[in-house]
Amino acid sequence: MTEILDSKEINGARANVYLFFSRIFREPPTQDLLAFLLSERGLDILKTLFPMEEVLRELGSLMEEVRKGSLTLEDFQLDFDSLMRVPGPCYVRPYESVYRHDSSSPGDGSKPTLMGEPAYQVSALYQKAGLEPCESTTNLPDELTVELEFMGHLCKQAERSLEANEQERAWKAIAMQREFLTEHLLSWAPLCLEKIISNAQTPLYRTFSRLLISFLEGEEDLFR
Amino acid sequence: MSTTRRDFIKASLALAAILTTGGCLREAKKPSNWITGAPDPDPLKGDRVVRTVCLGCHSNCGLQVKVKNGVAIKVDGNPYHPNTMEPHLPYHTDPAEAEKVNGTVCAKGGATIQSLYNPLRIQHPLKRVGPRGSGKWKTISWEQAYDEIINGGNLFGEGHVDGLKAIRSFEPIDPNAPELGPKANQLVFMPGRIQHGRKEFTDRWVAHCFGSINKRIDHTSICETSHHVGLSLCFNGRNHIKPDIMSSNYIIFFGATPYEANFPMQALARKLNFFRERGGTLVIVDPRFSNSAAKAARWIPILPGTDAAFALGMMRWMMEHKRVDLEYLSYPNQKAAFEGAGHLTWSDATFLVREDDRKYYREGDRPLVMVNGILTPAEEAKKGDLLVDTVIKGVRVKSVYKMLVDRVMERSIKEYADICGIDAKAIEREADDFTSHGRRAVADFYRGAVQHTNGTYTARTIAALNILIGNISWRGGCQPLSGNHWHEMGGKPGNPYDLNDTERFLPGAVKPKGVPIDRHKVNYETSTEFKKNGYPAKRPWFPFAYDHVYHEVFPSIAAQYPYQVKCLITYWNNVVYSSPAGTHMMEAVKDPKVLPLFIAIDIVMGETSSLADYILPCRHFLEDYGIPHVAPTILTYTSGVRQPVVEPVFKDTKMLEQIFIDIGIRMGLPGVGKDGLGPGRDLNEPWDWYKLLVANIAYGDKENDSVPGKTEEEKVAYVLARGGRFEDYNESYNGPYTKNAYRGPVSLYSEKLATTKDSMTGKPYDGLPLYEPIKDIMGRPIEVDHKKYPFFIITYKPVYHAQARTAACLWLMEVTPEECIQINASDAAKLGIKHGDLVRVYSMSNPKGVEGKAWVTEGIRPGIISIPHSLGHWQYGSKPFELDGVKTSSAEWIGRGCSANPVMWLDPYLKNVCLTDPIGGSASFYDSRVAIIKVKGQ
Ligand code: SF4
Repeated sequence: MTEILDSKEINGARANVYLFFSRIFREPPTQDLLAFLLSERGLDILKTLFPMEEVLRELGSLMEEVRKGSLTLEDFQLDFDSLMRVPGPCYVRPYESVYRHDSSSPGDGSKPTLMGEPAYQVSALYQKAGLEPCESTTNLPDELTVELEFMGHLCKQAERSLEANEQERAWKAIAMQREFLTEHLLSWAPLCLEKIISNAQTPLYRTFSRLLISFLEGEEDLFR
Repeated sequence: MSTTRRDFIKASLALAAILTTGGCLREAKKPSNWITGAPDPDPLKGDRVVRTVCLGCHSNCGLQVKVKNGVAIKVDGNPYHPNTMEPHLPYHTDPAEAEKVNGTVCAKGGATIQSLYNPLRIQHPLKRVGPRGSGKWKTISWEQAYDEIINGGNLFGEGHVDGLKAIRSFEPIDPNAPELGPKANQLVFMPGRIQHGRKEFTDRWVAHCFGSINKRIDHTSICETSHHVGLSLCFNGRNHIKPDIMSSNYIIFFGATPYEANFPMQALARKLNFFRERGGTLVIVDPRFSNSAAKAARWIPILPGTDAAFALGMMRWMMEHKRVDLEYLSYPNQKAAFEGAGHLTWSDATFLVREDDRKYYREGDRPLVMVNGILTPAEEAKKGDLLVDTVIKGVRVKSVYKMLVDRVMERSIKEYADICGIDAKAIEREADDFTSHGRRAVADFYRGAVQHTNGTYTARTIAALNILIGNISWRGGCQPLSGNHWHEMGGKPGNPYDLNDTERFLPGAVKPKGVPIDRHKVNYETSTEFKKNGYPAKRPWFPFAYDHVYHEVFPSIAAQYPYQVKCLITYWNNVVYSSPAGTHMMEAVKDPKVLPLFIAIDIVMGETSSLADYILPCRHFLEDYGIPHVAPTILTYTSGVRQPVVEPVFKDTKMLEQIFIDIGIRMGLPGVGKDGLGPGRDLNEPWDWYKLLVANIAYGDKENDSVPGKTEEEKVAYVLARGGRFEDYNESYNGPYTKNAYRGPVSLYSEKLATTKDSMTGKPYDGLPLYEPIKDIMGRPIEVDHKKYPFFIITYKPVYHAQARTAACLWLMEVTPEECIQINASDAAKLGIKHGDLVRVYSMSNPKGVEGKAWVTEGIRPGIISIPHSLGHWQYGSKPFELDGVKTSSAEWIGRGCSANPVMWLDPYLKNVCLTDPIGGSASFYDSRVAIIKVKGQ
């Protein structure tokens, strides 16, 4: 593990990135969010965070298209719904249980199900970390957005503990980050994101999936 | 491009600024688990789990039943059983661990606890006190029932009645017709549904202990018997095919709806979901838009009874477009087929057939083929010529394939399509698609295609589609053997008890002989009647109906043909409710002079049991034993074991086996009581029998194939704890084949059929695939005024119902719509019928007809009326009867809706039985024409 994990600032920054992606994959974009993401400032921030020229170029041209009116907010909202919510041809079923079914079964008899074992495991981890579902939540515990948010919370917990000089608590939170990343998020999220890349109808979710994949790769390195 | 740590932190802060509140998680002092509040997948905790086998329908799914304080509270699927999970649990899994996993059950299976605890079950033996069918009964003791049934006497104040003792005589029934056999044959056992383990028991008792040839005439002819007979004439006795769904790419089902019925229904439906998810093409040929059609790539709403024409049309396209696997067809023996292209099967396509006597052209016993124009024994040739038409020694001979080509070319695709009432393109498209997946395409069918007067021919014709693409026994292809099981009756090297060895296991066994009351498996030409009168017989004989002709029993009893029945014992039998035109049969058993003794063994006052002299109350399947098998849908060895889940709900009821044991002991019959199963093996209770069957399963068929356990008891306990014995899922395949694959000949031509004459027409049957229009028992077309009766009537099973039995489950009736008579919206509009109107459906055989509410839908072909099974009971607890002078309670909802059976046609020649396939013996369910009128608006 790298020593930068000891840094409260780094934990705080990682939390922000996780929570940002959690937001991106939780709900369809609003006018405000889109305006920010495709603004010069938004683009600058993303450039700083994710120095991936090619991807960001795509975002730049996307900005152009929106400006010209050939892509609208509604297109992105529809894209989100068909990727993340509606069981149609583009649906990616963004749940860990679905991606981590027993693929050793013969033929195509393997059986992805919702609320499989991983859902039970992650919800136990949430509880262990002192977190519970908000009242209004209708998401399943092993959904992509929830797992990203959980990482955000764990990073925040580490940040706070480091700030308060509670080294042991901080390490607990960091150890849990590692456990959760390796046993859950990293084991399936990249597969799901690849599916989004191939099923997305607009460049927006393709771009953000690529950014998230690269961020997660960085995270993996961090804990190596 | 790179970024510094400082920039990263800075930019992330800016990112935070756009994050509004929201999210799914929050911090809490005592956080609740996410899954709290979500529905608990298993809210009922029992104190014991018993694994058994369902009988909500014939799918025989394993069950895992939770029992609490001796009460069955919840029915789940047994995760060891392949019907309920994909893949099922490995067999070595600890039973306590397996409790944490639930397989699936369908709605019917889950609701079976309602038929177990049905308060309207018969609770004590009953004896009629009025005339037969008057609905007046008194409670008697088992002792009285046994005494009267065995010894007879003036039992009803109507004169003397022979008991079983008097009937068990080995004098000939008719010395002038000795082939009819002894008087003991005048006992007829007629179960409705009876399964393995149990049927072998009653066969043993009726045939070998008592000595009657009428050992078991069960329901199969009203189910799918022509499917079995047709297939056994293609696959050397194997009577069931199923697609290997998990590896197939294209499946066309004729007259079957695997998402609602068929067996094992829930395994079919589950596997088809995987199949479709994989991109497999499902095609449903059915006049009704079934659940399966709703899931299919294509729905072909064909006219009833024309499926063979569709298949022949496909064959024509395949032949014209070089899509027949001629190489496979050219192999005339096992070695050639295997060495040539790895086939496990071979066909008779190259065999030569003589025009004069319709037999194979033989040298001695050996069928011959042509090899480059030279006659060669089929068993010696590497390949035979497929298109032979020549004259040898003055006899015209043709190869089977040439005969088939000539047959197929008799009509154009357009003509076939016109018969089916569809567009020719539909036939062409399916022929093209069916032949575009190598051996991973299958044509399957079930009762919708065969419960017609042409059922056996249709079965053989659809089966031939598979033969023409050489898919038999290949992975992804057509499976005539899978669904195999360990041999509970023994006889294999590993089995300890060979129960078919009567010398060792049934000392004093009788060998039954003679003609069964329904004349199944007997050729009319062997009878004295034929020698005297020639053709036609008085009533039909069925040399090919291996599975009996259930619906012919009551009319034969009424006609006392070929002899009088003196005692009829039914078990779980509801022939008058379940058969086409069954209501006409009720009179047949009402006259005690014609049928002196009628004993019904049943759990409720069924429509048929209500006509009996005695009703002996038996157990529900959750209180019973059995060794049910599964269909070839399941590729791995499967031996389910049914065992009692709870103590009998009603203490004065008995298992069927116990009733026969009790009667046998009282009559002093061989094979029951002390040493009944051979020296040192008594047969006093059902478990004495079943423990041997379960031991055979536990030891397995091969040497050293036993389940773990030091002693026989331990091995048996190992099997019982798991609800049977199940081969592991990963044993499904053996390279390119299914593991338990059929390895044998396949016949496009049936020499047996082609050389046997029909008992009524005196004409030989046809040996080739054939479309034959609907006809009566004399082979004549049926005259009907289509203007007066413009609709075909058909039936179906909704997914939440089986045949008669499920109407007693309130949960299932609650989800059954009031509207049960389906009619196309355009037909309804023409007749002024609206959804929910009360309508009457009637026919020339039943002008009074049946009434029910209309279900107006686009999901049915115009010109068709459809009514589901299971509804319209007029007994079964829906009506009270008089017991010991008091009216019993009843539940009107059990009798809701109506049934199509009462309006189905009687055969115009025989006049007291429905139309019947003279070969397979199937009752026609889909050939009758009816009219429909509005009785009352909503
Ligand atoms: S499919 Fe039939 S056997 Fe299986 S659970 Fe349902 S009713 Fe029972």
